[in-house]
This record gives sequence, structure tokens and C-alpha cells, in this order.
Amino acid sequence: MANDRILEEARSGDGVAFDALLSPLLDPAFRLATVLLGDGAEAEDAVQEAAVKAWSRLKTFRGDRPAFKPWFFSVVANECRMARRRPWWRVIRLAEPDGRAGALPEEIAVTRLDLGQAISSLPAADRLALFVYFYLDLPLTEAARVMNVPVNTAKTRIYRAARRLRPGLAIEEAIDR
Amino acid sequence: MRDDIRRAFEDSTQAPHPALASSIRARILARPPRERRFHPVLALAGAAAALIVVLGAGLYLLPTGRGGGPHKPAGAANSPSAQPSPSAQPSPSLASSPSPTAATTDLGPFSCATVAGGLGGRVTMTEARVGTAPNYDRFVIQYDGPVPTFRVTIQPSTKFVQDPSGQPLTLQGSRGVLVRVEHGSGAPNYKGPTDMKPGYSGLKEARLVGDFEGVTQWGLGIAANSCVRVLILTGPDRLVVDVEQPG
Repeated sequence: MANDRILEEARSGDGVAFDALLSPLLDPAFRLATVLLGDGAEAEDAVQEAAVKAWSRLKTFRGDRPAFKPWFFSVVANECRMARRRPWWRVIRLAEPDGRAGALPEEIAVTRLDLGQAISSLPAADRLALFVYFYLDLPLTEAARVMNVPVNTAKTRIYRAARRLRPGLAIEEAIDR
Repeated sequence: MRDDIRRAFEDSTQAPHPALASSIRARILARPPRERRFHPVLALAGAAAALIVVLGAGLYLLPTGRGGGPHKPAGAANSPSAQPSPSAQPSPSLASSPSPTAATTDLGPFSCATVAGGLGGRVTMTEARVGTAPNYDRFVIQYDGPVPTFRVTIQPSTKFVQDPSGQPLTLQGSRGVLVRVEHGSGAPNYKGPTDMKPGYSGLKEARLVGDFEGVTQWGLGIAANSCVRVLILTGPDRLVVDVEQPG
């Protein structure tokens, strides 16, 4: 297929082929970086650096054409993590609910239907989970790859993030595939 | 819920500026591929073009048998369609593409977004110069190796801070461009210009504002409302900043 040939040509060092692979992904990659970094200029820098790193590491990418997209988004997400200069575990710790079973931090409970503001107030790990699953529409396995966590962890994180936006949400409503 | 969240992300983010794609493209194509493979389609196109030129020259040189007409030198029939290149003539931004240079190559849009790129590594600045062409003025820094890491940022004023003295400096023009390059110093042998005031409509002044501890900074004074286009060219290695001329 033409798409597989482009990938092989890119792997062999053809920059024009790699650019053809990458171009359709720049818009969602930039939006991903904006969601994680909150700043357009930083997002541009992160996507640029991720593109160059992906180019230099392409030989280590063993997947087929459909797997290229989540692989590139994982490089972008990693670049954003480094740009934030904070380890992810610290962000996740802040996002964890308190010790009361079934309770969520009140400061991030959604009391009005302002979803965009609610999303922007979530920790970066939660924003990433929501973005890759609901906006990029990636299946769970690919979302987990971008988030750099096991599939079950990705599922829990997506569900937890969705519940912060809509308390009382059942997991079947949040994760429908 | 899925649609609500998707719409929320659509509303809170935006598409990237077109300059992002062209900047990435320039950086990718400026990096030497690990293995340069034979590109069959382009090679065939090149061979076909060469064959046509040779055949055309052969036919042109054959006697016409009709009283003859003036014979142009073979070199004219064989000359490529590209115009001769003065120093200010644009080269394509796809510097490592095997396609022949054409005088009408689209160099990409102007942008006021920050542009960063280049390869890590240590090279020496050998020349700096300015020029002008239809629609844009050009600032060029030439190196003895691949263009190193750089950042080009537009700022609202023409005020700069000299490095390492810390003294303020104001250039001609209405807004400024800071061209910051790492490990591309001219020291100790650079003898080229350090302050150029060409008086172009877009580019007013180009001045070396710092060359210290591995960081070289050039300040450009440009016209109000002008944006720039950044190119990495090879043969020789150059960092190029094109300044949009005011409409």
C-alpha cells in the first residue's frame, strides 16, 4: 500500500516521505501540546522538538503505518513532560482524590456546565487522558501508549478524569470501548 | 459526553500557524539522512530531463538542409531554465531536495511566530551580509558547517541589550528581530561587518549585539508590521532571515 511505502521510504532516510507522514498529524499534535503546556509558543517548540526527535529515532520505530500516529503523539507528550520540568508523578499525586472512599476534591468538582474551564483546571495527566481518548479518539491501547502507562492504568485515569467533570458518571459511560 | 469534551477541546485550542509546518520541514530536510537512498522516481525524472536536453541539443546541431538558420551555441540550448543567481537570489528552503532550482520556488509564508531550529554542534560564523529581492529583504549568516541551534524572535521594539556589556542599544526601524545562535561564534577570526544599515524598506539595520561564551546574537531593525521567514540553506551552510517588505 502507498502508506506503507511512505513509511519505508522515511525509515530509509527520505525526509520528504517523513514530512508527508508527519504533516497530517501536526494539527492534533499542536493541540495536544497546547492542552499540556497551556501556551501556544511553548506548544510550537515542543512539537518542533518532537518532530526532530521522531525523525532521528524513526529507525527504532518497529510498527506499521497505523501505529505511527500514537507513536508520534507519545513523543510529543514526552517532549511536553520535559518542557514542564516537573516529574509526572508529582502531578499525579496532586490529582489523586483524598482518603474518603468515593469522594473527589471539592475544589475541582464541576458545579456549572463550563467544560472548557473545568478541563483547563485539571492536572496535566488528566487533561492528557481526556484529550487522547475523547478528542484524538484513540482506542484504549493507543491512548495508553501516548500516556506511557499500561492499558488498565489508562482506563482508570480516563475514567477518573471524566468523573471530575461529571461526578456520578458510571465507568460504562466514560469508557465505551 | 464524548461530543461535549471534544467540542471543549476544539474551542480551547487552535490550529498551528502554517509556519510551524514549514519550520519543521526545513529542520528535517537540513538534517543529513542516516542513509541516503536512491530515489527512483526523482532519478528517472532527472534522467529523462537530461535525455531531452541531449536530444534537443543534437537536433539543434543537425544541419537543417533548408538553407540553414543561425546556430546558437550548444551551451544555450543546454542551459537549465533557472536564472543565474546573484547573492540575493533565493534558493529553495528544501535545501536537500534533489529537484533542480527554479527561479519561481515558493519559499513559504512570512510569520511573526518564534522560529527555532538548527543542529547541535559547534561551527564558526564566516560571513554576514544583507541583500534585497522583490517582496523581501534578506539577512544571511554563513557558517563553515551545518547551521547550529538558533532561535529567531520578533519583539515590539528595536531595543537590544549588548552582551556581555549589558549596555542598551537601539537600532533603526520600528520593531526588532533577535537572532540568537548557540555555538556559532565568529571569534576569533571573523572580520566581516558587524553593523549594516542598508536602508531597505523592510530591513533597516542588522547589528551584532553579542558574541560571548558560545552565544551569538544579531539584532535586526525592521519595518513596522513586517514579519519574517527563516530558512536553512546549504552549499554553503547559511541561516537566512527574510524580512517582509511593507505592502
